[in-house]
Formats: sequence, C-alpha cells, structure tokens
Amino acid sequence: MKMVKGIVRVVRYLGIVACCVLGFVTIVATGGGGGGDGAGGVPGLTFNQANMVDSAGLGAGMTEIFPGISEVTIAVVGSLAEEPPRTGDLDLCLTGTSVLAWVDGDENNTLTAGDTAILTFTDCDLDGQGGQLDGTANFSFTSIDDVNLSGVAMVTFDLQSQELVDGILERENFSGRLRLELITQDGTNYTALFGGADRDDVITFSMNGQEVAKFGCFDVEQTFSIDPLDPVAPDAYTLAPRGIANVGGQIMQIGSYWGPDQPLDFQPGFSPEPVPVSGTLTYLSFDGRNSAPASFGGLSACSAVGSFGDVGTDNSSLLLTATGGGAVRLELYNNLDLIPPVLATVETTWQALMRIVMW
Amino acid sequence: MESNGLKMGEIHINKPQVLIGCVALLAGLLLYLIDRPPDTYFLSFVKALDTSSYGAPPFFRAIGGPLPSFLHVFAFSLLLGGLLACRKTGYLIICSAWLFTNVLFELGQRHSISVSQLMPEWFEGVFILENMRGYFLNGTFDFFDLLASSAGAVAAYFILIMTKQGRRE
Repeated sequence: MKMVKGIVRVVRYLGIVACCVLGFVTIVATGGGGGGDGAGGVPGLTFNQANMVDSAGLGAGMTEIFPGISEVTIAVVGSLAEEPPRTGDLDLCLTGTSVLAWVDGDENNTLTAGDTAILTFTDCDLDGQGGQLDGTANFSFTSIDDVNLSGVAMVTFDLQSQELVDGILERENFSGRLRLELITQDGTNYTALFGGADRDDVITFSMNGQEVAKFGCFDVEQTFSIDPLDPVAPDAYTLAPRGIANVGGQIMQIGSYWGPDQPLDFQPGFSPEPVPVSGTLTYLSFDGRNSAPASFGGLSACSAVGSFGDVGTDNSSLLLTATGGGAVRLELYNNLDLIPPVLATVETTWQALMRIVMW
Repeated sequence: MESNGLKMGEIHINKPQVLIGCVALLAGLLLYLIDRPPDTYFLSFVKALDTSSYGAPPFFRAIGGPLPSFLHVFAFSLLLGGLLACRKTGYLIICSAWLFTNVLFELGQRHSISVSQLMPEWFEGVFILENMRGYFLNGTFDFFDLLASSAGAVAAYFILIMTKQGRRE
C-alpha cells in the first residue's frame, strides 16, 4: 500500500511538472492562443518558387506608402506655414474630408519645433478611384523650416482604406510610426529620408483583418518635386514622376505617375538626373543576424530592411534586382545572406509586380 | 474517498477539474487544426504544408483569434488546479500564474525586436525553443488576447471553486 501511494505521488508530481512544461510548450509552439488577427507565433509564409512573384509584389507595394506620407506631410506643413496657419479641412480629398488640427506648443501662433498636428481622414477619396480612406496621421515636429517647408517630424499613422475590387470589398490597414526628414533648398525639389524612430518601429500592412506584411527597421530615401497639381485647387500637391528609393542602402528608382489611370510604376531611367539604373531591394527576415546596412542622413543603422510579417523560419529570402527598362529580376535563396545557389529566378517588371497589390 | 476525486491518503487529484481541463485543451487543439495555417510551428509536424488551403468555416474564423488565449489559460489552470487540488488561495495563485505567463508572452510580441534579442543563440535548433524568436517576431500583440486570457483565468477560477472538493478545507 505504501509503495502504491509512492507511485501515485510520483505520477502526480510528474503530472504537475508535465502540465507546466506543456503549458509553456503550447504557448511557444502555437502562439499560446494566437494573436488575434496576427495569429501569434505563426511562422507563416516561407518564400518559395510558387509564391515568390506574389511576395515580391507585396514587398514592392509596401514602398508606395512613403511617397504618400511625404505628400501629406508637405501639405500639412504648407498649411500650417501659412499666415495665419490654416487648419480645418485641407481639401486633400476629392470627396470626404481631411481635417487638420494643430497644437501650438509654444503658443506663438507659428509652426515651430515642439508643435504637433493631427490629420484626420474621413471617407476620403484621394484619387477619384472610389477608395475610401479613414484614420489619423499624427505629426510631432522636432525641427521645422516654415519658409521652405522642410524639417523633421515623427509621424504616427493608423489608416484604413476600403475599396470595391471586382465587387468584393477589400479593407486595408496601414499603421506604424516613422521619422521623416524633409530636405529642400528651393521649396520645390525635395529629398525625404524615412527611418524608424527606434528599432521597434514597424509599419504594418493588413488586408481584411489579416496582417500580411511588415516594413521595419528601414532607411528609405526618396527624391521628388512638388508642383501645384491644379490651378483650381492650388493647395493640392503632386509627386513629380521621378524618385529614388534607397532601401537599406540599396538603390532603386521610383517613377511615380499620378492620376486615376496612372498607377505607381517603378521604372529606372525616368529621372532627368544621373542616377543608377539598377539596384537591389532585399526582403530579409527580422532575425537581427544580417549585417547592418549603411545608414544615411543621420538615421540609425538597422539590422534588416524590411520583412514580411510572417516569413518562415527556414531563412528563405528573396532578392529583387532592378535590371533596367522597368525590368526586375527575382532571385530566391535559402539563406539570409543571399549566398548562391539561387534556387529560382524570375524575370518580370516593376509594373507587373505592382499590379499584384494595388493600394 | 471523495465521490469524484482520486484520493489515497495524502494523494488527491480532482478528476473533474482535470477532465474539464483536458476537454478545453482538446478544444484548443481542434481549433488550431481547423482554423490555423498548417505552417504554425507545431502544426507543421502534423499537417502537410499547404499555406493556401487553410480555409476554416466563418464561425471558426470569427472566434479563432482570441479564443485559444482563453482556452490556454482556462485549460492549464484547471489541469494544474486539479492535480494540486489545493485551496481557494492556491487556485487563485494558479490562475494568476497562467494569466501572468500568457500576458508576459503577449507583451513580448508588443516589443518583439527587443525581446527577440534576449533569446540566446543556442535556442536555434533546439526543439520548441527554436521557435521562441519567431514567436515574438512574427506574432502580433493583440489586446483582445489579453482580455481573453483574463477571461480564461476568471472562468477557470470559478470552475475550480465550483468543483472544489472539501478534503483540504
């Protein structure tokens, strides 16, 4: 009887230990209950030959957020630099509203460092394509030149858009925080430097409630011009159709067409300036094992340039190389350091990639 | 001997509590099998990898987000509570401990990069532990998971109290 009691006691203790271990294991192995929409702990997408084109399109599409943020920031700075500063609806939307609220931190009635502003979009159709944009963008200005409309701002945004695509309502969400530095000599030609405010800053993109991609630990450089888009709406600005994106120290060009029938296009050789005609855009996982790419513009170096939120744990990576004439080569690797052999190669175009995800 | 308990002198296991815990655990497992993509770490061992084909019924999709968080805290609180068969205070500690653990991991996803950098290199290649870094980096902090975990802890505590057997009182 004593022996049986001892065995039962041991079994019970083992059960307790097993329960604790199993509890820990199930958290790590399953996400311990997921992450709502994010499905916590799910390794998810692994780059492979079947999905590499779609993945590249998704990744390329992520960069489209940057010109939009530049444009909106300049509109905000321009409005607040007016005498007196202009708030209320900025008329950025063809339908709907884009209302700017301003907190004059030092109460000098002038846009100065330390001021903050919130731009709220409500049912906003920015481009006449029928999409609706809702949400807020918060600007915290750390330095400002209200003459040339340049400076440094922390931009925190949470934007939702919805659009009918082939009769199906698609909901998309962009959220995150970044540091934006606008540099200009003449108030027309700009360089915008984007970077995370700190290493944890990530821009996330979700579709229909599912997180599909992250763009984090990034340094992006974009050059562009602003011109009044329409004399009837002199407060509207557009991006000139040229640009260079520097993603993680690698150069790629962005040709940005503006208008209902002119989607964003990536096209080397478009700019009148002598610029590189090829470059690489790499999407690596956030494991911190990559060497830090060169930082520029005073932004801190990051360990990775961008990532899909659910890159698999097999260290697969995808390299996008602009090869000129709007063409791009996709290469699939089984390592994060892009060491051959190349497992698969696809020749395509930026335009084709951008058609994969249109937002 | 208690009617529903296994008791041998000092040894006491509350079978109903363990049973409810097991059922909840099984429900969580089924939820993952039905609702979650097959490349979830542990599912990768039991399901064929086909990231495009996981299509759960709408009901499961709707509840599939925070429900596992609820079930995890609920199930393991009951399992441990049943095995320890302790008093109310003990049950409270057990439920709180599981809630704390889940909240800690969830908050780790909120500060994913910082937390992932705390993971030692030797975790790589070690079963389960190799997924720790991915858990934090790829997971998404969700406030509803915290709510669900809290609800799981509260529910478990009440079930534990309701099914408590009086031996140690």
